[in-house]
Amino acid sequence: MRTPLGNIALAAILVVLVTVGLQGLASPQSTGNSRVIKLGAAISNTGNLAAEGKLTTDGYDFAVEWINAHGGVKVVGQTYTFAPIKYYDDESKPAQSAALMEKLVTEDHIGLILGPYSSDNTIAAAAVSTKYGAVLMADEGVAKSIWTSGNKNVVGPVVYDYQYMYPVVDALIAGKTGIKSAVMMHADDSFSVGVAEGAVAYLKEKGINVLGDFQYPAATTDVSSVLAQIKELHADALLSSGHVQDAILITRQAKQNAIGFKAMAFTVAPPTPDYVKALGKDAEDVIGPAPWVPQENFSDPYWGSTQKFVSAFKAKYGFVPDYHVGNAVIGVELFAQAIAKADSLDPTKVGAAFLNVTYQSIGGPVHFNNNWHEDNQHGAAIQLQGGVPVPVWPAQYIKRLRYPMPSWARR
Amino acid sequence: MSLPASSQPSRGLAPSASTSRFRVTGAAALRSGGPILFAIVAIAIPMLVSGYALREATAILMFMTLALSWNLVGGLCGYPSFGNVAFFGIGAYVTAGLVANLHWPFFPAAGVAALSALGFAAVIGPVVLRLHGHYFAIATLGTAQALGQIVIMVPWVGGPNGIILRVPYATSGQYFYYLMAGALGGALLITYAILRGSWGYACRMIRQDEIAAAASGVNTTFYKTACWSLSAFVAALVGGVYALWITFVNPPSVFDPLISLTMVVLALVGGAGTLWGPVLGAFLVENIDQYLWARLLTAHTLFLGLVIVVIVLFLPRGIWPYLTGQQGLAWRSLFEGTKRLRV
Amino acid sequence: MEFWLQIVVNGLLLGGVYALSALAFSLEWGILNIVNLAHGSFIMLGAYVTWMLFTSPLHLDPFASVPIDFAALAGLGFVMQRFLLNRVMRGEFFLTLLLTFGIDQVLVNVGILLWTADPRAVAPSYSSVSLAVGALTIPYTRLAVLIVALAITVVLARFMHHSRLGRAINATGMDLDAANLMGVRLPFVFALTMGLGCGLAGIAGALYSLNFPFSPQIGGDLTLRAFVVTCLGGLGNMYGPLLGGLALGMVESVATVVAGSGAVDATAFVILVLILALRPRGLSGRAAA
Repeated sequence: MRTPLGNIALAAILVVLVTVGLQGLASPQSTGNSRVIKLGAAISNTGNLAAEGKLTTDGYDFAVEWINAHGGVKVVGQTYTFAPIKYYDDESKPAQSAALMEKLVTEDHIGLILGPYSSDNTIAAAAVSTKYGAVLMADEGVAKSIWTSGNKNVVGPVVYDYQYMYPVVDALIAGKTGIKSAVMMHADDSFSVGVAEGAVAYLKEKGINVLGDFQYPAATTDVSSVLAQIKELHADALLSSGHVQDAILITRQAKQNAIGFKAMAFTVAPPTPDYVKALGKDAEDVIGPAPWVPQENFSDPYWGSTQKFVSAFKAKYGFVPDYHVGNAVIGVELFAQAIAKADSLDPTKVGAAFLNVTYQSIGGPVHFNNNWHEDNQHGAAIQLQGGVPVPVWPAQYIKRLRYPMPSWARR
Repeated sequence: MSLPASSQPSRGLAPSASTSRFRVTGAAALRSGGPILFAIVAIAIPMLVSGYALREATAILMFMTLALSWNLVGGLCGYPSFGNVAFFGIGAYVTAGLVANLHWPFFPAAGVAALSALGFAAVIGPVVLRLHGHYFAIATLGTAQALGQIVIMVPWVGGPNGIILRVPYATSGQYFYYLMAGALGGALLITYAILRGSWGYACRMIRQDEIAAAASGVNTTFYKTACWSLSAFVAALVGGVYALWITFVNPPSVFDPLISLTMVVLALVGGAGTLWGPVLGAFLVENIDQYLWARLLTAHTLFLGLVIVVIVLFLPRGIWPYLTGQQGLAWRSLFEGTKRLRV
Repeated sequence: MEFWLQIVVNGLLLGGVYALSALAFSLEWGILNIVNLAHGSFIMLGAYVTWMLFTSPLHLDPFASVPIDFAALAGLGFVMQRFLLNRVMRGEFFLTLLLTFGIDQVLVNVGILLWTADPRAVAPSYSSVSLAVGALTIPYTRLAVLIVALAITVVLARFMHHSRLGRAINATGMDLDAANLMGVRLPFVFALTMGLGCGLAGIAGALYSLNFPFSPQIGGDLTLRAFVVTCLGGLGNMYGPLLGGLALGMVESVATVVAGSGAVDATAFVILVLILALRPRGLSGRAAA
């Protein structure tokens, strides 16, 4: 049947296709209030880093809301407030991270961006942000290569990956534990590998015998054979760098296979609520590094003090903030202070305001060198006691360290 | 013994007997006018848009080329490879390694990368292509996974940290768009050349019934391996451009099994075995994906899954055969299919 | 010496997990010729059902939740087959792959929306207790998985060969048209088989939750493992997944020690490709199509 209907349908489909295709071109311009600071953020909502992503967004949103409600940011004598943060999901993929960086800058016209969660995504994002002169607050991505690859305006308020475990090692030594040997396990993603390399070198430097360093696939579901090998080594301490899911797995399988240590330390997991919820009493006495702990009490320009921040956050969200939240909040308040110091929203000027300068934060004073990276942070270490992360490092907390861990049977 | 159609080579491109509302005019217009319009639009885009939109357009071109590369072995020959990301990864890594570590200029590096992928495919082809259907799928999937794991252990290419490329020359968005367009053009030319000639004929025979093809004297091993190697070549070219474009390659991103799956989905949705099917499939699905990603922060993969389900139910041969009149909307024939099952 | 014995034991226990998760996959592939890319996500759903029941005021023990898991997921699988997959059964096999891929994406995203991506674990009081045999430690929950895998294999084999429904299912796997002519109601049997498969995935999920931390995204890995195990073990034989699973578990356990944990995946796949190239039937299967 020769119907024009078919051709019309064909044309309609083509129109739909082209319209959909042109969506990328039509950018919704939001004019809005002119005394507004626009921040963008890359987070991981899907992909395998999604759990940490939620904590980070809680921190960002809380900080923005609070600063807005408590005086905003003064720029050229006017009071500015933060617009709601524009979030994009980087799907834990570097290519997506780069794409969203470009979208934030070229379509949403946002030049102040809070960093992706992982180092890999930050590397890809930094290449794009440097190209456009945007300022990237890399508060969750810590690989040294981000700052040695010619990137500009990438602000690093947190220690490098290889320094991550230093507080744990410092605590174990300063606590006069008599620890002589340790064994390292790490996942095979770049963050975990960086942490492990730094930790092993530091352990050796401090005179602790490193009996082995085992790498496992990041998404592994079974480490019992690796643990069986580790059991043979009879090390005093187990240090592991990975993420929450593998920390839960390792702790559990260590108990199941009756492999005991005098001390166990994991990156990322111990301060998070999920780790304790999943393991209950088995998580007791586990140690972990934390760039920030909620027990500190520094003076802070927005909350008054760290403790006031902690109570305010807990009142709103119902849980004590962990270091992911802390880092996120610090990121926002650093931006606020730099904008005020630069007295401008221009990313070039804001970026310049992060060179050779010190800002106060809920984590204490942060000093930036001339490569936009901090050089006075050391991080802290916590130990799970009674299901609660208790600081055991810096030195003023060392007396709280409990060593050795009781054997599995006596928990 | 009659197994369900699914485990035998597919039935090929014979037009179905169901009703088709499109007549020759619509289809012919599409066939000749479509590609010209496409070429004009493709070349003009960088002059019209920039920044994010240009980046997204480049990404769409990348997926079109990847879908075409899969099409060479999966659509034309009917061998469902689920590991083509291995070639993409080889291309990205070899290019990145040569450019970053040995300071080669880009084009020779990409060329060598594409040829190494082709060589790799030619070597493992005769082994892997002896398998069929699902077994071939898992073997290719496994090869890609294994390669991704092995790369983590090679320090020269950065191990788990990957390689960061510092690009000395212009890094404008237009440059990468045209690079990617060049790769797409190459893929289209290769596919067109194969489809037109006796090569394409041989491949179609292999897809429909490999035993009959072999019995008719077709050197199935040669044609299969050749398509497989060309598929590797094209995917590796894309990988090379990707490496330069994103300036960062690491094992999880360039050996991601989801890329293999995406290639398959795009080609099938668009119309496997055709020249323009994968292009159309990539255009449609990636546009929808990007649109949803920017607007639905928490549910975009959900809708993508639904879109795929809907397309499979309504347009099982892909969109291109439907547009060019070879296939009607499948809902009616699906009902008929179910009714037949009830006999 | 005890070290290697422990490695072997670890391998068998790991194999039990693999076998259990591959049983359903093998059933769906062997009978329906459907490679269910959403299989891992069904296991994930089973794990979450158990978790929800465990953390609810009922505090239902994971083993007690097994029948509920089975029923819930069998129902879901039945519906999925009846209304979605049945439509593409006569089409190219690519279509079922695509369809199950789409369904998988939907399930994962629904999981993230409902339960967030946080890792969860089900940890009743006995979850970290082990049986000590000399210097060997055998965790009870892992042993339970192996025993359940064995039990289900045996029960399934009996069901398929000795019951009317089982033989109908078997018949459709052997020859669709002949089964049709013999009066088997194909759409119903398809749906039932898929329901059975998904129900088994639910059981696997319940036991998985006891042993491993999980999140909505574990599906992909699980499906891949099931795929490998099924190829290793061969299709068409109810004991295939068990053999394949134990074999894979042993290979991985030994490879971890010999080649380092990072090489485990690579080793497993190289072995798989070799086996497929040399013996395409797998360890115990019928001839490949």
